[in-house]
Amino acid sequence: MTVDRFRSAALVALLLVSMPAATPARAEAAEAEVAEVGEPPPLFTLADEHGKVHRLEDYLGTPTVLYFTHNMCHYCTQIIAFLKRTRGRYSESELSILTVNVWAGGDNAAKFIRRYKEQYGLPFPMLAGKDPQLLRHYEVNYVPIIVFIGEDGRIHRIFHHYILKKDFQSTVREIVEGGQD
Amino acid sequence: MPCDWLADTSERIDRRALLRAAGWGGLAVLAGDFLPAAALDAETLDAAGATSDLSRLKRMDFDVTYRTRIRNLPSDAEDVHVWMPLPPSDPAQEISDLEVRCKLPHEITRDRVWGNRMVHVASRGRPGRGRPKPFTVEARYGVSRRVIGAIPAELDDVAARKYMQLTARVRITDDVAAFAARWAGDATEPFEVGRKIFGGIVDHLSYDKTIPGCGTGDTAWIMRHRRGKCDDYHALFMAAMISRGIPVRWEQGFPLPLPRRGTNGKRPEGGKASSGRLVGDCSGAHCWASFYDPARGWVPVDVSEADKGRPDGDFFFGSLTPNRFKVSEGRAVVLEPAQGGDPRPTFAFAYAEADGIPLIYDGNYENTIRYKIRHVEES
Repeated sequence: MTVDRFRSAALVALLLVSMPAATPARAEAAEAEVAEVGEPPPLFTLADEHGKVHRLEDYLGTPTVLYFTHNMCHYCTQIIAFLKRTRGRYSESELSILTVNVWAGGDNAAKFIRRYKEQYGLPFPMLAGKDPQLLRHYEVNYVPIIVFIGEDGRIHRIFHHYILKKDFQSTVREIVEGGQD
Repeated sequence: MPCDWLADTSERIDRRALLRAAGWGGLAVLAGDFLPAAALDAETLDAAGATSDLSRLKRMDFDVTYRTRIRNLPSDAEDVHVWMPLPPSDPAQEISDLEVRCKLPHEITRDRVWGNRMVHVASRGRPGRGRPKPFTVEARYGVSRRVIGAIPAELDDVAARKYMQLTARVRITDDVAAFAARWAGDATEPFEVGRKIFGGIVDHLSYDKTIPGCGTGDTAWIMRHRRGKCDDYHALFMAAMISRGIPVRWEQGFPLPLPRRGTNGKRPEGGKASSGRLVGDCSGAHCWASFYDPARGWVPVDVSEADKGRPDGDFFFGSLTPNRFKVSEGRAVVLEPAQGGDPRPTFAFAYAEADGIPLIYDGNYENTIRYKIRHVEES
């Protein structure tokens, strides 16, 4: 087996950078140390399996669900089911869904993400998120982590591990419809 | 696996999650051959009113069948590897009758830093014979585990340095250093420092059994949120002790329940009442630690177990109950042969890759651990 245990150190395409401010909330976001409810989210720029760069800043202004996972999280498959149902319920203009795999990075990041997306048929972006700064900003100690960002560009709620379906659905409604059933 | 499968599994996984949220720990009961009121970790022992029983345990003998099934490989997978931890025989436990079953060629290796023993299986596609096929690897062994206290040992400078290593997650932040300094006070003797930091962590953290997720033991997170599970407790213990210059050994294993007593007051030996089937991803294991005191050797601690509100919590400073077994030690484990992915934060569960990329737990493979308790000895 040809193995390079250090290959993961190469994160050339996945640099986490602070983004320029466009609104007051976005300006604050660039300064954020850790994700906090009521505050703008820490900004990031991460690549998907095609090398396309996604900037969180570009999604702000639309209610957004940000989901962190990795390849050894049994519960996460259920959250993916929630996300897929939600994607079917709301258009991309109504709700953005971004998923981040915190194990994916380095030379094989594209294949890593492609395999995950194929396994579960993800209809939304998955980004390669193996970056220490990102992990610190979103306090990724446990996965899954689900961050709900409102239309105002501020974090509405953070679930630092498991989330029940009813909580997921009601929180999505809160950010998309202002809590209306 | 079809992606639509996900939509059909939420009820099944919900049930598991609810079990966890109800305090069943990180291990899911999959078979009906386990007493519902017994449990999979000491939390449920509490619920069963068995708290005082734990420190009366002297020895447990049980059989383990640890199976990893590669069941659904990525369509482009060419070079598949599995590493499964094998438990060591040491002063705390004796492993017997080890048998490894796998249709593919396999080898038993040891990692180069910690000496952890493991089974390594490789399956490679060959020209004209297609891609690797799903396979299963299984290890069977007996475990005799006894209650332990400090284990006398010599530690030379080289070994001491190994046990002073921090990791990207187990780190001495300013908060951790301040915490250790505050609780250790003027103490310098390792045993005294250990006891004070043990007490400080019990005081500072709350055991959060509602966390069903997969923790990494990030000391910065722990200091900020002041709660967690075994990884968090022992990561903080490790960082705090190392900040005071004391070597710490991370120990990784699995918890076992205690069979309930029958109407005759005795615990059943063998049979359904003392067997179970566990499944685990990254969250189902248990960990503890030992610190080195030149006067005593390796002193074991299980801080998270001590912080579950039981009256005998102090027992877990300097002693460990035998309802557990160890499968590896150390953090940031580089397997042998080395994996393509990052060093494993800990090594309790078999780890699988295809072409240097981690396979997806539950999607591509599954670990199952069955146990059958043969004998329980109490004082």
